[in-house]
Amino acid sequence: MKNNKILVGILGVALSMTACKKDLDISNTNQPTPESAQNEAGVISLAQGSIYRNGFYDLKYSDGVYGRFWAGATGFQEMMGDIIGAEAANAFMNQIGCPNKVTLDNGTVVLNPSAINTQYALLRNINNNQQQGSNATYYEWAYMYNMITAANSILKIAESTTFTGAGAATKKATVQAWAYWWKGYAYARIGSIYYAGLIQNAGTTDASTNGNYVTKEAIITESNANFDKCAAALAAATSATDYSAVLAQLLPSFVQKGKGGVLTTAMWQRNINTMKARNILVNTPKSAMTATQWQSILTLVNNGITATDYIFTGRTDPNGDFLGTTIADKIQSQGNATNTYKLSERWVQEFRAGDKRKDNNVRTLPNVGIFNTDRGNAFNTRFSLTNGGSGLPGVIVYANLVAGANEISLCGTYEENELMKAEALIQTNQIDLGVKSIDNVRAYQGAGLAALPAGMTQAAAYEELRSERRIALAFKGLSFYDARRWEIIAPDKSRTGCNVISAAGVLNTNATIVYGFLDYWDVPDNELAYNPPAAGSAAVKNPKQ
Amino acid sequence: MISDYVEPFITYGFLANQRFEWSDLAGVAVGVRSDYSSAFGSGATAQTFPRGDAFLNISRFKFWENSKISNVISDFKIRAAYGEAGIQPGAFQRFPVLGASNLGSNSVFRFPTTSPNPNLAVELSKETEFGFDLGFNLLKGDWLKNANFSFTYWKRNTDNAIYRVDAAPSTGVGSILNNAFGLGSNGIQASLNLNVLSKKDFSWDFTTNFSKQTSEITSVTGADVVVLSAAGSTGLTLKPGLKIGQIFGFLVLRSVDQVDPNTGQPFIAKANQGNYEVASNGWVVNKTTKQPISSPGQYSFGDPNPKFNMSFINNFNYKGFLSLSMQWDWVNGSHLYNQTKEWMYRDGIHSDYSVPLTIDGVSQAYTAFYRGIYQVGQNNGTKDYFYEDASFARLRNLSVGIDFSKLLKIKTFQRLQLVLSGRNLVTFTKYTGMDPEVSSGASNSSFDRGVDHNTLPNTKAYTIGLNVGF
Repeated sequence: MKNNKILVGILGVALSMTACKKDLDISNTNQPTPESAQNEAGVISLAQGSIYRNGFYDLKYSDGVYGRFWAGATGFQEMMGDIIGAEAANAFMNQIGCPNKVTLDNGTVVLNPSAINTQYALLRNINNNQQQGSNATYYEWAYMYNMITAANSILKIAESTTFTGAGAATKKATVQAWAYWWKGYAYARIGSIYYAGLIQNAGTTDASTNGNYVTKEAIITESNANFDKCAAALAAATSATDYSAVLAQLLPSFVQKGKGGVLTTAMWQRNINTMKARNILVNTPKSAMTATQWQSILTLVNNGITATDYIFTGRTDPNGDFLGTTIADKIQSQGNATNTYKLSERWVQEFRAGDKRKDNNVRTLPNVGIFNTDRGNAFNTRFSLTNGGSGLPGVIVYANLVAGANEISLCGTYEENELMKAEALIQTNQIDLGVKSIDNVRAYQGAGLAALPAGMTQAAAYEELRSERRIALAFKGLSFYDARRWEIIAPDKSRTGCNVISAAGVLNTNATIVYGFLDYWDVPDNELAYNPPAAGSAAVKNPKQ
Repeated sequence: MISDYVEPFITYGFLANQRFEWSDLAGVAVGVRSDYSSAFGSGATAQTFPRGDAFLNISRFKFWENSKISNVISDFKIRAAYGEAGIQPGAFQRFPVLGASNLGSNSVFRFPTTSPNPNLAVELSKETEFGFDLGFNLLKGDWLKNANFSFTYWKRNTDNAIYRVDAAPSTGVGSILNNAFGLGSNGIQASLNLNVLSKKDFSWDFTTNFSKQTSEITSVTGADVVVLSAAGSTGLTLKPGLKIGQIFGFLVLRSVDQVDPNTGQPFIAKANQGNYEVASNGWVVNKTTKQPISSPGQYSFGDPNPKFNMSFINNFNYKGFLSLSMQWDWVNGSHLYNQTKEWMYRDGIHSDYSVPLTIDGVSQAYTAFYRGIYQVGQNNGTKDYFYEDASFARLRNLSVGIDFSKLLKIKTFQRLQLVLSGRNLVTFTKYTGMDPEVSSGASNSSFDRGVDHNTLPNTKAYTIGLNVGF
């Protein structure tokens, strides 16, 4: 009897278990799944969120001291371009932009005070997986590959999504153009700072990669190829109303003012041309530029961004944005205080007398800013930026803490296009035409400077261009490219006639700075540790020692 | 802002346990449990965990009770146990999801920084232990009447521990949940209890406990897992063969010709060694700049975990109304990384700054040296200068109790006891921080220990209490 009861009991339990097994199939109802993106509204939402947030904001490492892509990763480049300096040591940022040697007016030599006292040695030392988020060279790589894999996912999802209405083909083409544009942008940034890169065609959800590293030149070629695919997709977006409707949903609503409106396909095509011109210019030393290259640049910029075109912009927003903060906002300060980023004397010295952009933005500190001598030798400064500007009408404002008040450019701008035009004209001996473009940029930013005269020499005209590029394109993450192609960063080169405040607070106006900055960064070890180079890969380390 | 979060969790299974005992001579128990869980995903198989234990009370056998041994060793029992257990993945760790963020007033999809893993397996632990208990009759008379001794050895392996591992940045994923590593640990625990003295009016009992354990990473899936301590900037690495909790950092040089263990070459090139000397405090300094020098790379400092822990407890009782109890704890061989001191070096507020040292014959409190310690290798980096021996002996508890109802023979109260006690009264240690018994790392972490970063120390406490019984 007892045995029967036991048997029945065991059978009953076994039966009930098979019935329950399908109850185990739960799902996470708290968060959207990849299936949620598999429709028109979903893929557009993912296209906006993944590009702006994964590409510029959300990363496994972050530090509020330097911020996300548009304050941190681009900030590191601005430090190397001697637009800003830093005293804090987070991610070694005080050392990334610390020159090897500063020679003061009286001949005193001030060396880099750090324990590892050259930037070459520092970058090799910190480019180590154990440094995790303290490896400053990790950030731009990680952000841009986030963007590339996100764009790949968007392309894959758009391929299998059904778009509605008569303009379905245009809607799909617009989403594709969006993905190709950002891939082109991301590859451009990677190929312009890293010695080698990866061509990545997998999406984020594949969580896979390849170990076939290619040269930076191949990465720039890939960037241009994606820009071309973007142009082709735009050409296929024939229905203007559907295109505008989709683009208005792809761009976050809070950037759709100022220069950030809904671009027409023609405007976007011009944006592509400006970026392709940048790809040529920033990766070739000025002394190595050929007439053919200048001509290519001219062809592109003559069809580049105009003064009335919309561009891709970013703003802060109280409900959530993709900037966090900006470089200029990390410089501005009040009273005697300075902020995390210190405004470089070598930047302020570029302003010509009477430039309203300086009057509107640069303020003199009540007491000269002198920072720890054991953390840097060139970052003392008399200047900071004014939050919100000084109110001069029609003059550009750099820093503004009011949410949404200030607009930063993410990709190309009219000023950049015009200055590339000026440079190409000057370098191909059409100097008078070239300086007119410099005047255009100054007028556009409200500088209030007199027009440059006709008949300038090439050298004099180029000097105007050089200082104008440093001012007009400041805080955008472009100034290191210029310093590199003007060949002043190598350990055997220098910049003379610099303004430097010594540790004693004395202004030197004829100091010489030997920067000693590496021109292209080794591939970050955070990548190499988990994805070693496969056989036949290009070199992943810059041979310069 | 209202939010709603639902986490369904469905589990079922069965559990069977059977125990057999033969009087108090011996016993055996075996059991098994089998669980299905929604965290495993549908179509997954059940996880089955067996267990068992046994004991043998040798002192109850006739041959023992009849022999002369039973006069000295009154109890002798041996025991053993084995069990398996699992920790399942979190409810949703296997399900791919999208994230959402606010951009302006819209909520948009994005990809999460940590990727779930549909192939996540259950963390499995297996533990074995065996031990014995002994009871002794020692001397006739009042002193050392009896003693009890017990000893246990245990060994545990955990496989497939679930942890976030880094992914290559080019995958677009920050980290993936994976069955990242295996842990192995073992240890012994022993305790001895003595009736030191038992007279009619006075008794003294003494107990001592000893424990020793060691934990090691046995395997790592993929590349070594690099983690940062939750206590700030100290770096830990989980690498197979390493003891858990090892801290990695720069080695501040102690001899001018110190050799790099990786390359076999001296850290300071022979040509430059003349510029350096060992200062009076034992660290290599540059004779001109007075600054110390470190290895360029990072090395393990060793095992911060203690070699063993012991406690010593004494209980005294006089005529039933006066009781005194005293407990000493001893932790030997533990180490702490004094991150608090490092931050104070950064700000120049540590009293070490006024301690002079002799360099090149001149004796001064060189600020350049102390500031240099903060800077060397990396500003605020982990370096062995701050890795200190944190062994300590501490008077954990001292308490005196007087029972007035017994003393004054008060009839109304069964008990009227005044207790005065103090905790953490005296500590002997070489550690220069505030308390050698702190850990600032993630709480309950098996490997994030050994760092002292501005954590409040344990306090001395004095309490007075009254126990009343009617």
